[in-house]
Amino acid sequence: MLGMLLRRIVESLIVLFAVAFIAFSLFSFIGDPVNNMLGQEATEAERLDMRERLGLNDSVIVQFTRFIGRAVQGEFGVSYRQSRPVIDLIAESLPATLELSFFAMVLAVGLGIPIGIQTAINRDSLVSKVLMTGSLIGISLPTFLAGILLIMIFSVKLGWLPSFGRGQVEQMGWWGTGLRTWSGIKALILPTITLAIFQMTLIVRLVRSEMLEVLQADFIKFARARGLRERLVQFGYALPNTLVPVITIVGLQLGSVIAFAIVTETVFQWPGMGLLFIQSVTFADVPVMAAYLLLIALIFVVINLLVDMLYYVIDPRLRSMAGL
Amino acid sequence: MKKLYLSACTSVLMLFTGASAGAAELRVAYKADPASLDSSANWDANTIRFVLNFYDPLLDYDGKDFIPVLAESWEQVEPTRWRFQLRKGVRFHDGRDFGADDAMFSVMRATEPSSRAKSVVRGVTGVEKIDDHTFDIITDIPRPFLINMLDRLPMLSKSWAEENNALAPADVGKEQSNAALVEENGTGPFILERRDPGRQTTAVRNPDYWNAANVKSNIDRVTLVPISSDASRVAALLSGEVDLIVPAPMQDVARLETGSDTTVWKGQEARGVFLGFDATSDNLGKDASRGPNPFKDVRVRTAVYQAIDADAINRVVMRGNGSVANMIVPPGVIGYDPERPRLPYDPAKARELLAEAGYPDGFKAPMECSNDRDIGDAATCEAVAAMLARAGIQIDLQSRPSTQFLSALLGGGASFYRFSWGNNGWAASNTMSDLAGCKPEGQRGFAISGYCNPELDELVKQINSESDVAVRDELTKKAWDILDAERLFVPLHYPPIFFASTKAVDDVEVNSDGSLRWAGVSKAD
Repeated sequence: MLGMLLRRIVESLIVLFAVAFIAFSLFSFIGDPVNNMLGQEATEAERLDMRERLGLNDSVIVQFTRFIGRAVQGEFGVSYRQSRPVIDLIAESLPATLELSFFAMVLAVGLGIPIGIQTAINRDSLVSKVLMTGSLIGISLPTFLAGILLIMIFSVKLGWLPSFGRGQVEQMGWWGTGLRTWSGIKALILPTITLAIFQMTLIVRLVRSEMLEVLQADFIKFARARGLRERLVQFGYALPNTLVPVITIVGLQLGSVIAFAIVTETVFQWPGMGLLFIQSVTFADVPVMAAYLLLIALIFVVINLLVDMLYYVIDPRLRSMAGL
Repeated sequence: MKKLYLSACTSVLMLFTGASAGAAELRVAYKADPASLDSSANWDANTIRFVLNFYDPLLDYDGKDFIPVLAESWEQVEPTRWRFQLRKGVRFHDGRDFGADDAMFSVMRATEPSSRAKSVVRGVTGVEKIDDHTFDIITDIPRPFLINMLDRLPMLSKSWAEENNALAPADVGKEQSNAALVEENGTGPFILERRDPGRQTTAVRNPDYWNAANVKSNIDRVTLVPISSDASRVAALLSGEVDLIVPAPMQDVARLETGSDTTVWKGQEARGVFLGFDATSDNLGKDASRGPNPFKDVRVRTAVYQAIDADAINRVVMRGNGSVANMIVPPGVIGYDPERPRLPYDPAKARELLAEAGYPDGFKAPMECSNDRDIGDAATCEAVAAMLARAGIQIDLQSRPSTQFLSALLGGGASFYRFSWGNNGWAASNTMSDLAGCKPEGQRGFAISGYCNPELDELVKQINSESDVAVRDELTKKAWDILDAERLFVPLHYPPIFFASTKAVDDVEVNSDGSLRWAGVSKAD
């Protein structure tokens, strides 16, 4: 167990290093930040001077080494666009993204699993058919469109919910939360639904197909043959066996929800990391982009690690294999 | 749980009281949040103009004349010395008096190595104090146009900057950060209440504003939020969550104009949109493998000019809201000549010229274009490509975000491009030297044509140091004649500006730089 953990941590570090390097070698293609920083009237000499000040004249390898050397010490420099420390920018936007992602996943799991079970157990009922058709729409509807539709209905037509922003945010230490004010909670609803739609439909379809498969398994047939009540067979034996792969997928999806909340954050002007990243890309704000990509890679790696550990806990077979 | 409930109740209460007291509160959604509150550290149009709601410049330009703001008068006492008489009795927001020390400090602050606003004070070698409200700016050579730039330079308090470690603009290279980026202490009509960068900024009216008598606006509080997505910004307006959006996306203007709850405010931007060429390189993209550069021939450049129906572009792409440009500089700029004619749209003539230049069957060429820099930029390029296709020129269009686009232009590989140029110090001579002056090889900057004519450079030099307006106009005319003969540029249009508001907003001044001065807005109670 410990050996596996150590091996995985070393692997994770290699992944982080690789992500950082790939990111850095791509930065030269997004354009020169200096042109955005100095405006059109600047002379070529002023541009060269700025490039020199920022160390952009150095080779990619030198810039990368410098970045890694400082990142190890927890330093990520200053944003080219805002002239503020990157750490501050991330600390301001991370809570927004984490709160949104957390509630989106809760909603997706909370609705996705019951719906998945329902459509598996009562395959041919009308309700199941309607739900499955609905999930097809959910999985094919672009996030951007879903967000705008929700805004049009609930903000513009009905005027119930805000169309942008995070409402009133209260500081709890460095964590700015929107959960302690009514306006913050209201502002959370539409982005959460938008972000959850795709994940939910994914979970519905996953749970359904897993459950259908498990229901065909021999041990279920034996359980039925023993004359156990159908409820007990479904929820006592079939469901737990269905959930093992579901947990893996949900864990990994949480990572991608955090990383790819970009579209939802843009539609709702949700002041999270995705929005910060998009702004940084348009400005070629290299320090912010580098820190963001590294952080996202870190989140993925950590979640992946946790899911793997969880697998060992849930599945006794893996434990015994590791023991052998 | 109980605590949560209580705080929820109080915030609902706050919402109500906020709404009833906000009779003259203005809520504005901008496309982008200003990068900081220190324009010398972030020299982009958005930040420059945003900041001028908190700070005042020495003087302003109203499209015809320079008008006094914090400077009451100014004169060129010697060829290389400008003297400014400052307004008395002006106070900064924290109560400090404004005087010559502050003005001198603010000018020199823009010359600091870490400043990104060096272009404003180019040629300034020093300042000299005459008395508490008089000071001189000394320049390297005679610079009659020095004052033209000062309408964008905010006046900071020297002692405040000292106390807040903001004497020089924050140096990104040294990873500095300072108070001037997130706080302000200006003399302007609004006082910053709270700034949450990237999320929300609130400001209140300055009760002791020195020029309050001339501010007609009834706005005493503004809330500013950035909403970058066009569709979401419009939705925020339609839902009444904001009163004003800056700018309104062009594709929604027709709908907002006819909407019963919304008003569209239009203006014309002091910016010229044009097509340009690399007129000197032998090969396309300076790359021998891509073949010879047809734009080297003035007949080809003229053919492109005459093959393009600028009127149709303005009518269709700009939906008739811009105006067709006769020059690359916009009206309002010193040296703009409304009488200077465009070459007529004449596709037959264009084909003839192409044949004469040795391209009877046309040719293929790449075109560089931005897709997020100006209103309708990518659509304009598509229209241009379609029009040129009819003349036989096959355009390989490269539409990219402006960061990449600018890198392509400045990287020197562009042979044909669409670009726009704002007014630079309200002087056409600046535009001429920026876009067509002689530059050392490899340092062309935006003078992409590579054109170099010592005669033109000499004229620009004379214009820049000539104080007699009549002589200056004559020299400017000569310079334009030289440039027109070369057809380095195809002027297209002066783009429109759109803001949109709810019906509650009575008046919005639309500035020719596309910015919003909050003091220029009035709202019904």
